[in-house]
Amino acid sequence: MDLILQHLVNALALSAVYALVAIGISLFFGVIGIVNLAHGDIATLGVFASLAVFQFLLAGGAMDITALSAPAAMATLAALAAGLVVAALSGVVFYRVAFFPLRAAPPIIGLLCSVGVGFIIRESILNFYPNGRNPQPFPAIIPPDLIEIGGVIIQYKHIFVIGTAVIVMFALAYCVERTRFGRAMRSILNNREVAQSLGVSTFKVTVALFALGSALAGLAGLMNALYYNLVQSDMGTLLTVKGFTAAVIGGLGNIYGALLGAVLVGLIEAVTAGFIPDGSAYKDVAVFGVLIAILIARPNGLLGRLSAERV
Amino acid sequence: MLRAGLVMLSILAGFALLALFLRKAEGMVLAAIVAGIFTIVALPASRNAAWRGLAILQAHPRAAVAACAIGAVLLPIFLHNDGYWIHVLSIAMIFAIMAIGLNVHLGEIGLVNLGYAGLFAVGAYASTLLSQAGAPFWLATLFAMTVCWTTGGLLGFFSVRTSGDYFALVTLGFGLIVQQLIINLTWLTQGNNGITNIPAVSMLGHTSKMPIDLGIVRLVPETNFFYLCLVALCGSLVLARHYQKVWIGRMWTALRQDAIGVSCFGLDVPRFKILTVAFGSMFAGLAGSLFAHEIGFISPDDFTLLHSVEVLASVILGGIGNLFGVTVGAIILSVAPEKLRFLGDYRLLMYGAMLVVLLIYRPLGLLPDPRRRFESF
Amino acid sequence: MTASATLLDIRGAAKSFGGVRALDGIDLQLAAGEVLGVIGPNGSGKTTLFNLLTGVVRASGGTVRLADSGANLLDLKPWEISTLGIARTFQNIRLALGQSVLQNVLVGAYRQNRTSWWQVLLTPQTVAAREAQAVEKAMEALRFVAPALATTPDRIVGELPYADRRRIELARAVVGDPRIMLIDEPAAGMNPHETSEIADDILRIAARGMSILVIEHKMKFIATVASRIAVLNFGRKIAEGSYEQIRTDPNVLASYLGRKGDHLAAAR
Repeated sequence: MDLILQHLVNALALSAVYALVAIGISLFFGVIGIVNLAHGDIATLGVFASLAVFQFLLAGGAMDITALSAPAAMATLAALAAGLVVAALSGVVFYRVAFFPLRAAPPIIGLLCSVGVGFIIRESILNFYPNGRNPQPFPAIIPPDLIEIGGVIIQYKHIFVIGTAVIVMFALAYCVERTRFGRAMRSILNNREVAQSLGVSTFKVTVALFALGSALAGLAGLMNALYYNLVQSDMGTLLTVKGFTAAVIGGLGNIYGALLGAVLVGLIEAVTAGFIPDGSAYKDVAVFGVLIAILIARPNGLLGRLSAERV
Repeated sequence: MLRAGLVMLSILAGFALLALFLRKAEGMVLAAIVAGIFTIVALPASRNAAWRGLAILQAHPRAAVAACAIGAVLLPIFLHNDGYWIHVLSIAMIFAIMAIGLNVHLGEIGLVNLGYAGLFAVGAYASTLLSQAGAPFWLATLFAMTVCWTTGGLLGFFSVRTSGDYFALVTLGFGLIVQQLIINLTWLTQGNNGITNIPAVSMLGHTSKMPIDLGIVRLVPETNFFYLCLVALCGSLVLARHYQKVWIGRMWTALRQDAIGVSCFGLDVPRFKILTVAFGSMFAGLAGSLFAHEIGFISPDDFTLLHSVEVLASVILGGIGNLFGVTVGAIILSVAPEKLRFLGDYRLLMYGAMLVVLLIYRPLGLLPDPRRRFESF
Repeated sequence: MTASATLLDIRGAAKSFGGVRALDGIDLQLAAGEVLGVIGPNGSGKTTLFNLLTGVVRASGGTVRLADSGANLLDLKPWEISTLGIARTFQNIRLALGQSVLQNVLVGAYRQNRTSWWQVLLTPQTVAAREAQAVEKAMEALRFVAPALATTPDRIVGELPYADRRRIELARAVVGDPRIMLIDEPAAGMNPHETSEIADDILRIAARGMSILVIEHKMKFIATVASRIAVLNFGRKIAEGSYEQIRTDPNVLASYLGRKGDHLAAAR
């Protein structure tokens, strides 16, 4: 029982990270019809921006980042904010430079273009970031303490990752359901042409969405970095694949579906790794096996809209 | 007659230039050539001239094909018997075979397959395992093609149930699963260590490790595979073209544009889709078998998502649906990284940048299929 | 009124999309060799009826039987229905625009002239002979339906005017020698001259012995081609009979033609 709960906690932490990536992928697909395979790499870019700020501020070795002091808090905030801003900006830039010119081209071209963008980001970090070829330690700003509840060990970083994700999800849900921006966004998801004819500026909303989605990806990257305290240039690939899977399981274009998909992916991974002997080697196989099974049963994902073709 | 002769001469000259380019062009020369090609593509006047040139080629198809065949056969000599480049071109041709197969999925019925390297892996391992058990190369290849055909049929089943980007994800998952299985099923595949000592191909006492002695010249051993791959590539082109020209090709086009319409004229769409995906996957078996025997060593690293994307990029850059374009695209994309070696660590960065720039400026590829201008794909 | 045997027998055909009843139990009989017109306002279920008959849309209930075949058509897949000798055209023309006229018509000849994948690989001569037969049939169908197009079979469909595309659709349906043709709004978007040409085409096809079910909005058109007319509204059949009969039917006047009575006047 304890073991099950323990795995559940680990799974939820994974799910939280995947969910933040999946939401961006799902939303981008909803508004521009392109699967963005560079999404995880944008997260990586944010993480490395954050790391750069940390390394700059901690260069003298005078500051203890884990201490509960005002300068340490400021430094942490500055670094994390830098990560989010860089991710958001790069998302917007890539939309404008790579996806916007391709809006009339078939979706597969956009997908391939995003693969090219992913290459550029990964290789740029590899080549231009100091010591970018090797995995780098990320400051452990979360104390390594843990609490034990009925035999289940919960680390502070578990609480941090899950907590942040939950708060962000609620904020996002509010934003989507209640604000003007959310309405505009939903109208575009529903029907781009109709939204346009009703006076919604699809370009502005799409740009805003790319900023938001990419910032969420950046946040996911940061949480991943804080969780493992290790970052490397190709960490984004895994985030993309898992986020994409979660988004598809839930149904592309559906935020809540992405959330559900992420929880499922996290659970399947944790269960395979935890309960099947030698399972961790097969956890990706299990995830994709379930994915394929779900797609056969529900070809448009769990919460996906059924699209009927007009005859 | 005179024109046909000129066509042949210019194609042969093209092959000689290609060889020269491969062997000699370095650094700045290469950059200048690439810039030149971009200018030609970008300037309407020069582009029109290039199209006119192509039109002349198309007006003399027999001469053009004959000259291409002669040029390809003579290429090892043009390359001054340089084993390295002959080897690179063999690999390029293997990629071209894959691109022809993937074009059946993507070009003919519009299925985005992100796991073609998975099929390639299945073919390579199937062929290797049989070959190590003592089977001759041709039998191992046939076996690999059959296994890939079957695996492709399974994938095709998913294409019936799922659509568009969902099928893309299924294939992405398929590619990753195949790779994970290769890594983990060590008793069969040796896992991450890979399989070494794949037997050489031998025919009538001549093995692929021996040089080809023609009396006047002694061609390096790499030439064996060069010619083997050339034959396989030509065979693949002929096969794909043959299927395009009969009712199957017609139904591919009709199905791609309107599945409901063709189903009302008697086409069993699910069955046809499954057979088509299986047919396209078969080429991966041929390519995999050639690859395994050419390199003599295979490991999971040869069959990553990156390889799938590379094949996909070949098809798209060359021009979806155009067999000639697809072949050229694959050869360019597999030779380019070799020629970009002078960039050292920035090689893949430039590769990514080139991909993005090319897609933005020529989203339908270098040699688009003219009949597709009324299609969204 | 023809007295010949019923060829297609539709009983209680129903379809609901979610809660909307697009078709609410339609009974309709098509006699061998007749042209039956189906009219009704937009959304009355005409195209849905065609989609049920060709298996494109799954029915919620009812049976459709051919005179000599026991199977319920509503349980079959589109390609199975096609092999029973039913062909159709589409309201929103569904052709491969980037292909030639001939290539499009050849799609309709698929059923009789197909070969297997193995035959394509192993016996190219057989396949070539079958292909030649198919081309022969397609050209014949083109000459029959659209003689003008038959002189330029290699033109790309995307470059042709709307009326010609309609004719290509007709030719594609005719080429497989179906027993029953379902023609969906053949005159939509055409000028009066083209409309009367299409009417002639349909009468010629009927003269070949095919039974035809035709949907149309234009009353004059339907009065010209159809020997009998069924009127649909809200997924139900509200009247059936000759043009004169339905023209005076109070149900039809009340529910459908009330506002469009002038169409009838124009058609007289």
